[in-house]
Amino acid sequence: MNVHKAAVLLSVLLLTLLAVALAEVSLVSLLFIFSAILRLYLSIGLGPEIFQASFPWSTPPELQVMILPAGTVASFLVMLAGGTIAAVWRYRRWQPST
Amino acid sequence: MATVNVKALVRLYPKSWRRRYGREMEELVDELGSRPTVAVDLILGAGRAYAAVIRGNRILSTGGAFLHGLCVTVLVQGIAFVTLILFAQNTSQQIEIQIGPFNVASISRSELLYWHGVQLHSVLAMVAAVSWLPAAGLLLALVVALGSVVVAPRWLLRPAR
Repeated sequence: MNVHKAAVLLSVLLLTLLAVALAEVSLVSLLFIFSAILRLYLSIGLGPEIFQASFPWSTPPELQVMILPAGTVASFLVMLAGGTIAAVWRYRRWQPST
Repeated sequence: MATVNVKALVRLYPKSWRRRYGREMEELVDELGSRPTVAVDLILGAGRAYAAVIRGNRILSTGGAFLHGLCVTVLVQGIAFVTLILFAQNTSQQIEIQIGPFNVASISRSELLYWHGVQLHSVLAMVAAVSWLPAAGLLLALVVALGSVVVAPRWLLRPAR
C-alpha cells in the first residue's frame, strides 16, 4: 500500500514538473517571438548556458534584454506557484455536480 | 458523404457521454443535415461535455485547474515582459530587476551608434517615435488572450442554448 502511495506521489510530482517545464518552454518561445517582433537582443540564461536570439536585422536592435539564470529560476517557481495555487483552490472548493 | 463526416464529429465526445446519448445525437445530426453550423455546434458541445466530465471528478478537476493556472501564469509573465519593454523604450537608463539579492534581468540600450558607417542617432530618434506601437499591440493581444483564458472554463460550463 505504501509503495502504491509512493508511486502515485512520484507520478504526480513528475507530471507536475513536466507540465511546468512545457509551460516554461512555451513562455521562452513566446519571448523569442516577441524579441523578433520588437527587435530586441534577447539572451536567456539557463544555468551555465546562455541562449541568444539573433535575427538578420538591417539595423542593430535598440534594446538588449538579458534574463539571468536567477530570473529563469524565479519564472519556473512563479509558474509552479501559479499552477499549485489554482489546483489547491479547485481541490478545496470542489463539489460534486448536481 | 458530408453528413457522414459531420456525424463522425460525435466521436469527439467523451465515451461515457456517447454511451448515453450517442445514438440520439447521430439521429439528430441525420435530421439536421451537414451544415457547417451543426459541425461547429458539435465541436463546441464536445468541449462542453469534456469540461463537464472533468468537473465531475475531483482529481481531474484539480489537474485541469493546475494546467489552467499554468496558462494564466505564462500569459501574465508575457504581459510583464512586454510592459517592461514598453517602459524601457521610453527611458534612457539601464534597468536592473532584482529580487532580494538576486539580479534576475537587465535591459540596456545598444551601445552601437554606427551601423555600416551610418550614424544612427537620428534614425533611432525617428524609430523611437513609433517603436511603442508593436509593443502596445502585443500587450493588447496578450491581455485579450488572458481574458479569454480566464473566462474559457466558465464559458465551456455554461449550458448550451
